[in-house]
Amino acid sequence: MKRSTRVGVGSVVGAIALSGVVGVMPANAACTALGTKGDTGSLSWTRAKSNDCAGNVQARVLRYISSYPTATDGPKSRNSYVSATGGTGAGHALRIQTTAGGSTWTNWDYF
Amino acid sequence: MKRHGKSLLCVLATVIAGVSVGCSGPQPTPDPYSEDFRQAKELATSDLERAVLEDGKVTRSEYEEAMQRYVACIGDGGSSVTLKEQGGYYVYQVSGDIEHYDQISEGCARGTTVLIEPLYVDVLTNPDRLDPDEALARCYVAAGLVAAPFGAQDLRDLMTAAGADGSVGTPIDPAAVELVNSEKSMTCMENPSSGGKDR
Repeated sequence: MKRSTRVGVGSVVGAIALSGVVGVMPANAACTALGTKGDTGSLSWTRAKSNDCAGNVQARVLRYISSYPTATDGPKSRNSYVSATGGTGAGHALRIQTTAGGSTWTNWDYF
Repeated sequence: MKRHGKSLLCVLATVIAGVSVGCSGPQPTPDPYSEDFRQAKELATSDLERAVLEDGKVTRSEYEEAMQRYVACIGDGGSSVTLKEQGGYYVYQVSGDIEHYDQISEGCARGTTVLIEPLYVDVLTNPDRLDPDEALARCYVAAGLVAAPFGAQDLRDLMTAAGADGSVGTPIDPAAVELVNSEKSMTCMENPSSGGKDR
């Protein structure tokens, strides 16, 4: 099931629809981007794609290694991909930049 | 000399006749990221950013400098992060108190990586500034994972068939799962301009 969250930051509104589309746009515009994920026995990956918005995205894989959380984060860019191996209990998350080119990001949202 | 002579004639013809028909040689390709650089320059908050963005490109050493300053800032803030190479750029690995890292990450990116990193990674992995799905779809074709024609929508359909977009109710296709999780696919997702090679 796709879930959607709207995030307001100043005059910027980011719309998040994880498992579907997530993203960021300039002021007063809702924005979407796409989050995808994959798991095999040993590998987990997360891909976050900003639509053609002014903001960027960042993908995360969270795994527990000896019960210790380890986050592996992709680059902050229009298309962020990251994979991780080892450990257990993978979680997939992404965050989006809510001001064009600035440094304000949404909280990590797990999906 | 001959080329210079022809260029001069073309300039004169253009000035006199107001046309440049027949004089055009290979035209420089517009930089698809020029607007991104222009906007980034306006948003620069540090001398590092202003210096790096000045010439409209980010070199590897400039990218390294920005990333290392970010890592140092994280250390100064009482956390730690390790950079790991992936597809020609870095990803971040954090262990332990991830919540604290997340709290200081944004402040450390300001003036260091927030403008420089996206430009370096995007130009490296998507030099034509295509829609990211289109860029990945082309990589899948180049890598021989799928047959052309195969575009952005085909890629999204493939991800859905592989269960990678989290859709509920869509039957999972084992062949799609295997393809999406293959070595070449991973290489393409890391860097869509790689053609699925050199992981």
